[in-house]
Amino acid sequence: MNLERYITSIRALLLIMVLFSFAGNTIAQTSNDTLNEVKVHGKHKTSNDTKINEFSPGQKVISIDSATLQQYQLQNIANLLSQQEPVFVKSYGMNGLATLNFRGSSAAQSQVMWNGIPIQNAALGIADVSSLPVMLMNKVNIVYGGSSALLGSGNVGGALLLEDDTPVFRNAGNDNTHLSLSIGGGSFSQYMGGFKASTCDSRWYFSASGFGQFGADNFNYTTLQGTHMLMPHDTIHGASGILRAAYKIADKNTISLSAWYQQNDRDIPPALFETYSDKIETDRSLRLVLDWNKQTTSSTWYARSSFIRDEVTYSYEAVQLHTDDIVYQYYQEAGWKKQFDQYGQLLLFIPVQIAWLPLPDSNKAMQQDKIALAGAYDYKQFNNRLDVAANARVEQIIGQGDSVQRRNVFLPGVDASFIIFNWLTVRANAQRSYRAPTLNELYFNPGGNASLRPEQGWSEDAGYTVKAKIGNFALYHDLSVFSRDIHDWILWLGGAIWTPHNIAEVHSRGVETANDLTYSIGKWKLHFGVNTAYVLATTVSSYIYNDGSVGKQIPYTPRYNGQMNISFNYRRFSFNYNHTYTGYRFTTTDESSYLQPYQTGNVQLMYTLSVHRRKWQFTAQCNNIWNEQYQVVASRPMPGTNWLAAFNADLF
Amino acid sequence: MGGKGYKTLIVALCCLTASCKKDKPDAATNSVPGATGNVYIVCEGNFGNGDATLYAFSPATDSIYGDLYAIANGQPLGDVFQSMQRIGDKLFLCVNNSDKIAVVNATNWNLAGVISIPKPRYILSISATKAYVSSLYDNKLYVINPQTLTVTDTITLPNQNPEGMCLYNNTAIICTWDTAGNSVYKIDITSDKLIQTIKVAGYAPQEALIDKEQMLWVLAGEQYAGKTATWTRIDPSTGEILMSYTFPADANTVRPVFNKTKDTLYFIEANQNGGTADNGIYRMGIHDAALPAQAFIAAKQYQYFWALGVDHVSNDIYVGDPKGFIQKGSVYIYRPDATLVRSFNVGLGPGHFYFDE
Repeated sequence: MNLERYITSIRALLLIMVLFSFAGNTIAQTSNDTLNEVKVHGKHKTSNDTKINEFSPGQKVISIDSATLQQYQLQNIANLLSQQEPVFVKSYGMNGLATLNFRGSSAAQSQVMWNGIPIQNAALGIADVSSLPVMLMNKVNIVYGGSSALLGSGNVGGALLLEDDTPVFRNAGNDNTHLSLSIGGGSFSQYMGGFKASTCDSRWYFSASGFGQFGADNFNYTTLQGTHMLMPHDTIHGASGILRAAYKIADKNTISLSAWYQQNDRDIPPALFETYSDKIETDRSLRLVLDWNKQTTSSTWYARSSFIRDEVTYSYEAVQLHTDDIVYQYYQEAGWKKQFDQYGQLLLFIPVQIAWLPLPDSNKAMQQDKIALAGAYDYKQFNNRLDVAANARVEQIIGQGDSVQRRNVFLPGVDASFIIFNWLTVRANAQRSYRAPTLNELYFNPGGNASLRPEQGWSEDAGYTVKAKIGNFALYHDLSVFSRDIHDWILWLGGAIWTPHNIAEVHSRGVETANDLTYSIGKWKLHFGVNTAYVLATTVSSYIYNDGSVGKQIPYTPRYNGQMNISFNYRRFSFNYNHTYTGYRFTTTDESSYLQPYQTGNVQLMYTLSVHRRKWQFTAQCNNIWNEQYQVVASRPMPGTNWLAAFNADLF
Repeated sequence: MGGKGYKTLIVALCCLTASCKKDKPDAATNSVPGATGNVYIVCEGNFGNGDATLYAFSPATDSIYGDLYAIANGQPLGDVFQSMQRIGDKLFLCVNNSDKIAVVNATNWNLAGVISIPKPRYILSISATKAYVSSLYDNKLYVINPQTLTVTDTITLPNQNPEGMCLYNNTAIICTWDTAGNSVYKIDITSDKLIQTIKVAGYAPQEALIDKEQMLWVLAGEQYAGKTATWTRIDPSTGEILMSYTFPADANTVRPVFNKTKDTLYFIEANQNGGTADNGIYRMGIHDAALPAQAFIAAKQYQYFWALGVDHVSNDIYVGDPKGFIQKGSVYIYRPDATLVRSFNVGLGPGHFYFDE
């Protein structure tokens, strides 16, 4: 054992001793606990999205509980998911781009939605989850597996659903106005803060939330030559805010407008093979959503209209590269849900998505329209023990580059769940999935390929959930097996000039488990949870001559991935130790080059006070407590041990 | 849950575990070739991933040796290995996106030193104490001392992106791969002064070669920037254009080399759009009236070649297929009559061959 590892071990041991001595003091306290116990980790459907809640009975949906969101409130979605869910987050560094990989899907096959609106950059087809602050989201749900019929193009591997709370309207005199503030700071000169505010009366609801951060990210890393250096050129400034206004036209008839603006200015630090970096990236996003919802006795009508503007400014002075790419997206959807009787309900909706990319130094714009008619029918029987849904979508994709190209796709799907016993539920799901090529894939100059076909295929999954309570023990166990076969998989090929091609058929399959065991006694709650994922995503066939990728794992898809949480709650105090494991990631399609597996240990503490009946919370987090030196993406080192402390107060 | 249910579950879990794939990849072998007679394969790597490698093929033993730099030095070479050049007993490796020339001993590939130069592309050896280094995104030609491993001077050129170079008598002909330029520059290698500007038929000159009649061939063009590829044959003593050839607009022409007698020119046309038109290895004689209509070795759909060399000992033609730069590339060895005699895999993105004779 070298000295560094020895010191790290001692440091970790001391930390654990301090934590447990803190716990001991807490046990000795006798103050009254006026707060509800918080759940450290739980799994139940809490999405506002009707399509997921009521028309996807066979789909695996995981909700991040409010206590976990509170713990990560001053961090980004990438950190939250990489530590708590078996979805692989491909992160280019602490402040760098981070994209999702569900069950061996590409970043563009992993959808990210905000209040039912896809928010991936329409040109790139990806969403940078490192730029999404947890604090601005009230609900975070993860849908595993494709459901293109309901969620549209790009929902191949899964979807991340980010949602605001439903507006509430109360009569005057009630506790109608709320304000909470959060501030935090940590290693690498990280400072962040935010607020959430809302007010309402019987007709109006207003809310505002904001988040700002600064970080220097100047962590120690090991160079290729084995020397230790502070990471240079790595500051980040970011600000993000959401405003929302809702009006109750009548009972169960509301209209709301949400506006989300965010900007991140990042220095991009040098990769390990670079001696310096002067790359700077600024991302600006404006997202506007107008939403109307009306419920009658047996019907629900809704319409939503959105406008998204994404701008990415990139400067790389050393190679005289300066770009400013702006892409626009309209997404409109109108739908009708009808409850026929206690057994059946129907959902019909029409989504229309229009994205366009103005070309620099030109009056031209490249455009892609997607117009669809979609529907789902859900049927329940046997006292709601059997829940079956069938869904379908017919979509026309119109690409308008130098010429107009039209493609039609038909996307059927069926899924079901059945409660065999009160403690055992089984489910199954089969969906046709597809992803239309993005504007960049089609028209980027140089390299775009206007003749690309959509990726398409079938995904199936099945699983069961065991929920049992035996005495003071509560057991949750969920197992899913999945299989997905995608044809015309799009890969970017090239050296100096990259061009996407429909190149391969990729078969992804695997097993995921989620396991929680909770023991409650008195004011104590002990919890042990393990999530695992085993994913084989291999190329089945290829058009490339003499291709070495056939039968090999696709790049940046770990075969093995898992998280463990050990936690306890005692009254107002909660402690959680989180441990993650990510297996080998290949960086080439033929498995000839790979990155080493890594494990991180993370400790989270939360202490909640009641001050004048308002909740105050102190949180602390130590990430990578074992100071693992690792890279998620080749040549982009990740930080070692780092701290983050935060304070949140509900003021009124 | 009954006892039978538990057993079924345990059996199912055992089956699942047994069917899981081993995660740890097999280790690579660490053998190294002899110090002479090697054909080095310059593997660029995948841009942005830092996985450039130096491979070697020994025709004498018919053996392939991989990642020599990492084996010898315990660290990866860097990002985008563009070219290499032997000067004396050292090999100079231009690692473009790592802004360095890694200098290794030619006998054991141990790192002897590093010369920091922004975006180095090619090295032209002038003498034991002088070499020119071209570099992208600048109008400077760097002068280095291969013995002290230092930059001794820079030569400012009228255009950006110094690229291909060749010697002609006591001068060096320098191409500047700048879409605004249609000239190459003659530098006095004693004084390091620009002494002549020579017009060529097309824009963006990128490679210069001297044929057996001491005439200069300049390949120009940048297909993605709308500059059509051209060949210009020039009398370098006067600057007179003797012949010019214009390629089809979609042809992306790269990596020209002469055969041993320097009367036949080989080059690659690389179609990176997945098609087979203007795609493969082409060859033409120095007195041909027109460009070759057909590929000498045609590339297949979704395939294009990125490295080309002619072994002046065996006359074999070496061709590198980068396979999209996302997996190990392949090297194919052909006889002069285009018969395939050997193929093997190398590192990512084989871009050049260097015959260390």
